[in-house]
Amino acid sequence: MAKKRQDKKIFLVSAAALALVVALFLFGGQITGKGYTSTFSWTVVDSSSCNVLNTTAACPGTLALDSTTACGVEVLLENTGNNAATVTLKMAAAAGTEIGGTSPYIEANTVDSESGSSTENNINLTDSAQTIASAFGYGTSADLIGNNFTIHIPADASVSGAQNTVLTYACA
Amino acid sequence: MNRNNAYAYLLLGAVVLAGIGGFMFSDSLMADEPVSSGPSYSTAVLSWTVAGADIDSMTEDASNGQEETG
Repeated sequence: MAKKRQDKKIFLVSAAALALVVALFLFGGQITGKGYTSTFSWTVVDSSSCNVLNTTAACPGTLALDSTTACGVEVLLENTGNNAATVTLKMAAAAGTEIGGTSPYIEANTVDSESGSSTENNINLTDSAQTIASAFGYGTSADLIGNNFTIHIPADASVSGAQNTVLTYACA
Repeated sequence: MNRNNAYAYLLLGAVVLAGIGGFMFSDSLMADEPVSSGPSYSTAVLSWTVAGADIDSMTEDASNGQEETG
């Protein structure tokens, strides 16, 4: 009689444990919506991202005082996201600080390196972000723009020798 | 506690652990949530060299034609 009662107890404990396992699986499935093995899934990433392909642009030679020079090397920018982007550009400090003198400037001239990549603005760089390209596309053959630079060194420039400034591009 | 009870509790522990494992496994299958990225930033360096100012001529201008004394 005692043996029978013992067997019954074991059976009940085992049944309760099995019920608990089933409940845990079902509970997990309801919480996550992934109670069954997924065979098809995807992730949508809303990305506005640009990548500078060459990170330096050097004006060759020595820029004379009271001269305006177009630099021969451009910075290339590619839209690596999956959204049309707006690109802004600024430099570390204003031209008055970077060059000095009367009315210095550094102009950024933006062009399509791949036809139809964007709508461009030419700007005089400052330490505030300004739009250089809008509707910057992400299509494989129309997602590349380039920046050329023109520098004006006034006769009374306050700096001489090697100079540089950091350009910051933002894509959104 | 006799041997049967020990087996029963052992079985109970095993299935509970299996259940917890199953729960965690099903949770890990959850797909990544869509992500919206903010602005991306890139930097480049623009460099140039400015010819040195003509110190002699600037000194000459500053002297404004006055003859040196002493």
